[in-house]
Amino acid sequence: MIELNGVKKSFGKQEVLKDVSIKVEDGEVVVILGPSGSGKTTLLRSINFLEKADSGIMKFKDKEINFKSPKKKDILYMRRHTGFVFQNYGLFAHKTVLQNVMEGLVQVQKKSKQEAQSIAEEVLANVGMLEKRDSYPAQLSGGQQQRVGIARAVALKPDVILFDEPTSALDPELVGETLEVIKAVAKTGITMIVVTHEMSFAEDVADRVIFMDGGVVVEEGKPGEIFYKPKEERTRQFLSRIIPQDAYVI
Amino acid sequence: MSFSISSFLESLQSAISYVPVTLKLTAITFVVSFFLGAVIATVRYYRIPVLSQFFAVFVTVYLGLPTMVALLLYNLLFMTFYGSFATFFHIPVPISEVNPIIIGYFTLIMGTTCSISESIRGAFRGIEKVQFEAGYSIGLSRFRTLTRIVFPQMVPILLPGMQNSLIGLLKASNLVSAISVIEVMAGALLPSLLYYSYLEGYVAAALVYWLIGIAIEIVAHYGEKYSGKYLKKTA
Repeated sequence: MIELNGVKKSFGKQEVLKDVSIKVEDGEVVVILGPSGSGKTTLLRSINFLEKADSGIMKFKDKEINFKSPKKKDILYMRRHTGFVFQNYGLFAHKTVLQNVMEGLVQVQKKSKQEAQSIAEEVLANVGMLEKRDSYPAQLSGGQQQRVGIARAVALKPDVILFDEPTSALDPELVGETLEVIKAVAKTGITMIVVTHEMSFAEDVADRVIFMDGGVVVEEGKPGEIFYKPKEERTRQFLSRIIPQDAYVI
Repeated sequence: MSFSISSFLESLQSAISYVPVTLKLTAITFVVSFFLGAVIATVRYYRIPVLSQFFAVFVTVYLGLPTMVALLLYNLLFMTFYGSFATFFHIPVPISEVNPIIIGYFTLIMGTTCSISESIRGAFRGIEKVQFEAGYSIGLSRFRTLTRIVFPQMVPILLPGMQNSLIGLLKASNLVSAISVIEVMAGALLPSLLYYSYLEGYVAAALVYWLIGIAIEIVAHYGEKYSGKYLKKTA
């Protein structure tokens, strides 16, 4: 279980997170929606301290971490128990696909090279990238790179995987294959927090949807409730722009 | 002015016999400067308080100091103060026994460190922020993110500049002949002192520097090709 309480964060004078609290149960898949600038990515990034929130409390497993003064070992603890999938993939450019997935297994989890390699190969096979194991990231399409990015996060068997708009940088025709891989990961029962704009993905996969706007959580609930019976006017406005209304289906 | 082949060969032979001095001076200076330059650039990149400001001012000021001026200045200071320094620390070595090459090392290391630190600072900017974040996200510490992810990716960015620094250093190393260290340049002129064959001496020295310089360029060329292979679109 991961619980954030009263998280605040400002960039200069601009308040990006104004007292945000969320709770994610073990095994739950939570999708965070919201317009750009709503603070959803900042919230996600503050969980593993890629962004340093100004204040708030995070409860994770048996730890309680104060965002105001996180200890170095707490930051490392969070990073070693969470996986992160970047919008721009963030594969290590100088390492092959296999080396990318093995890096954390060998360097952080201190597994032997053989063991790390067999884990990496298994995970790469699951995302359909085993054939490309010896390619460098520059030789792969965006969708392929993102699948490796997902494999790298999954291979470390984190307690929770954080996805930061994993399909936003992809060509439209590559979005599908990447979402399929994320769905498959979700089916393994791992806890996931996903920031995305993919509505149908949210509807299919999410146990719960959180709608954020202007640095606060506006509304949360089951995808069906949020999408079809939103309680808040702001949610309705946002959705009406994203889900085509009265669309002709041919 | 006549050109004597035999004097030239004599100068060349003498110059070649001092190649190890020049190479050692260049190589040690380069390695030490690279290490120190990397430390300075890293400190400045992470804006470590006090130290980064200090280095910023120091590097800016020091880069304006010509190597020859620095060399003669340090040499003068050394000559003047070594006596009292040695007495204070009870160093039993008289000044005549101290190899002046240490002044050469000091001068070259100071200057090269400053210029290399600027190159490395530039290379930091060539690395995308997400590479750092990806390292952190899999649980690598800051130090290991640097050594395992960031520094290796700097190699292809740094190589052209480092080749430049190394050749510049090779050429600057002959300045130490001004404080009576004998290296390739001074070595080539040793026979000239006897026979007044200065033209032959200078040409011999030029030839030796030129050959070493070309060797460095060839090595750097292949290094660049190899280290940047992951950047290519096709395998």
